[in-house]
Amino acid sequence: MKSFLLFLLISLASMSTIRAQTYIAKNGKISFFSKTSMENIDALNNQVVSVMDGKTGVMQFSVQITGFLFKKALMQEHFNEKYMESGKYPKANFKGTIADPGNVNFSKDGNYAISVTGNLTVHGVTNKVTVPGTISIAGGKVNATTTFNILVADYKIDIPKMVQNSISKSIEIKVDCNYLPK
Amino acid sequence: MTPKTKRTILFTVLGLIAIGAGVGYCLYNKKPLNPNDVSPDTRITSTELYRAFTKDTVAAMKKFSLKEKVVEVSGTVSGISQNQDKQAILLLKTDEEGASVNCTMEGPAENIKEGDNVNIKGFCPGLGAGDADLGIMADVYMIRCYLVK
Repeated sequence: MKSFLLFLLISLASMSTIRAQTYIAKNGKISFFSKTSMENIDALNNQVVSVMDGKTGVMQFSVQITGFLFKKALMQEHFNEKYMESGKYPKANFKGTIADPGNVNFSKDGNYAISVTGNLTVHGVTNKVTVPGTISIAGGKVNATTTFNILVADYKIDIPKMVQNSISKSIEIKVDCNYLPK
Repeated sequence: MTPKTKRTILFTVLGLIAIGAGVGYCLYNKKPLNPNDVSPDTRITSTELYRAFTKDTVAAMKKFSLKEKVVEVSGTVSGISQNQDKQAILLLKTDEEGASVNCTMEGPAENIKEGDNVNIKGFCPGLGAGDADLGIMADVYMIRCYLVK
């Protein structure tokens, strides 16, 4: 009986460890920034969904294009209807793998530099990208951040000639997600 | 043409240019619509809104998400948290276990507790991502939300 209870406790403990290897975020933050001599444009979205597997290092991100908020109504309208065609391509997605997931110790506080390679799909176009990032563990809380640039042309986003001087060819993207263990 | 007529035409043209530039400037700098300032285009329960997106996402996007449509959703609060920008996140129950209508509040929500029945007005960008293999249900999102009193 005693050994059965011990077995049960060990089994339950290992089950919770396995469960804790998957982390999810349903309200992560993503912003982008375009800087030109004519105008700076930025937009924010707090509805990033992300799943991270701490064991395999697989990271997935998904965001609804219509959730990006701009300071100006016209920019938001043009972004959705002319450039990103959000009715046709409602989401942007990324699925990639951390280069060396074993370097991140999810049970020890610290900031772990990572590199993630995977497929980024924006405007219906998928490109392979490698982005740097940081996973921070503090008191059991898990956070992941990254900053990287993409080229508008790589995702076949047409910018009309009239506004080409107002929109940068390279857009800076920042992602910041707080995760909870599943 | 007399000099007086020429002057009148010149001032009229300059006036029209100035009005056009002013209208263009105002349109360009116009802020996005505040959902709290207008009546909703649709009133719906959280369960019905969730069902609409899971049944036919494209049709639901057209009905609720595109062209700044204001949606008023009613439901029971099943969870409260905060995002990185210190905005309250209210989760409204649906009839799917683990799936919610996920509302990012722009207006105050300090007095809301789990179990409260609320009406919330905002924009609905659509259905988020889920992962069937991992048992993670997708939420339907509401943004720029305000409580309707």
